[in-house]
Amino acid sequence: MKCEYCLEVRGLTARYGEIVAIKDVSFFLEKGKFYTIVGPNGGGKSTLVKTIVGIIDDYEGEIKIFGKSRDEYIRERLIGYVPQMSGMRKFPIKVIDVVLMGLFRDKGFRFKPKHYSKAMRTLESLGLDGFESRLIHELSGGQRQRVMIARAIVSDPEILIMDEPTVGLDSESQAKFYSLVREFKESGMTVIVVTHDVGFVSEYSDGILCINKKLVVHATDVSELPERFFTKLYGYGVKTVLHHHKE
Amino acid sequence: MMDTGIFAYDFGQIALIGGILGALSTALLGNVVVLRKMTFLGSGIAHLSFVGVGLGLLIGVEPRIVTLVVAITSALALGYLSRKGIHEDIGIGVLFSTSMALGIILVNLSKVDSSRVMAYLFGDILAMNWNDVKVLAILTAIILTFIAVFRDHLVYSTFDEDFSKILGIKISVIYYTFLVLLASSIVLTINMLGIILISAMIVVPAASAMLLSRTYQGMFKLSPLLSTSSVFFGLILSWIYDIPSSAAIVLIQGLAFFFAFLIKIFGK
Repeated sequence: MKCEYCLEVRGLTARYGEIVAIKDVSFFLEKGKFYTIVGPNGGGKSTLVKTIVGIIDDYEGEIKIFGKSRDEYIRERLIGYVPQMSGMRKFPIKVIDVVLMGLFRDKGFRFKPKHYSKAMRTLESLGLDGFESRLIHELSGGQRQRVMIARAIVSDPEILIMDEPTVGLDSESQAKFYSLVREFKESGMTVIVVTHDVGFVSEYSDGILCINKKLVVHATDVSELPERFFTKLYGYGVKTVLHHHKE
Repeated sequence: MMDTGIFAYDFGQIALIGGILGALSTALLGNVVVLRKMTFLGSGIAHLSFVGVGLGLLIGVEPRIVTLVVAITSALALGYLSRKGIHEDIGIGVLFSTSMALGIILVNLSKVDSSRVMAYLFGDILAMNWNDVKVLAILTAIILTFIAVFRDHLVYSTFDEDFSKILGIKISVIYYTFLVLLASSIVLTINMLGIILISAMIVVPAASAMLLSRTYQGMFKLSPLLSTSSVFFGLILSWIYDIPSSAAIVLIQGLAFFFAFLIKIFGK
């Protein structure tokens, strides 16, 4: 049976300890599209994606991924996940080993040559060939972010979720990132990006989820959302600025 | 030519084999301690163990058995505090002095010969017997297997706990198992180095290996080598200069760290 939606969320309430981070959120996302999640800090965006990918288990409601329950789906395959880039402490791990983490479930007792080849190919596809032996904390923010994307996509996920991936990136790295997202979408992957970059939303998204504890709006056409809506959501003036990229 | 005469004697052979086993187990687990930046933990568990020594002496039960129970319970409690967001160092800082004070009171009440207490505080690797070695061999085999199977699980969950959870790694189970093994290895090597010096055996070889090796894989190879070498050369040093073996072993480890530091600084 062909599944209409790749992600169905119904009545989702998730907590951090005693604190209700999101309440009664419902939405449905289609396969192969690109969605963005926006909302103020503390509004529950990260909680939502962490609950979907399987980091947070304390939730009520229903999450279905390609027609299967969340736990059933993530037992079978990974959802690609790129976490928020906070300051990275020194850790003695090479770039190739970070990417191999994404193939951990497939490795058995140890990683085999096919896993190394796959990880290398993924690094190359992201323009990171030659970086495999570098330590992760030696890289720039943009390079580190691409390594994290490589780790997320090395297992060929059907859904890729990225949490504020452009924070701390210079404009050149941001431009590279936007072009990557377009490639992922064209390859048939469903891409979900948490962002504060409202201009990015208006330029690329097929749909937008606005979260502030609960789902404020779920629009399929971004042009439906005027600047005054974002101003209301964030509580202060927000101006949408379109990104212009060379094709 | 090095004077290796100590190894001609039974006590020297037992010390060497027991020391190498203890060095292997503590060095392997020490890598995780250093990577997780919880270097105070080994020292904390050892000091908390002193309550077990005092209690064992007071009630007339083999102190190491009581110490093992106390050490494992303490390690799990500290681990639980850590999982609840209270850093291990804070928990240890609170319990560290209190447990030593309680241990001193219990030892005082037990009225035992002070030399027995000194053995627990400073250790005596030359006083080990074959039974100690057998128990250490079993524990070392368990720790080697644990590290062989779960090294990546431990490293991944230290590097990125959220992503490890996505991968399906049972983070809590592995973490608490690690703490139980760490507490056990501390208790079983206390008679080698004593409560005061045991933390060196856990932290210093791993810290030196971290300076010399760029990667965690290198750390796991190098730290056992550094640790077992320090036992070998420490025993020889103590034999030649007639100095306490446990102190000589730790001194060698300290020197190794110093040279590793110099290599790191000037070797580039």
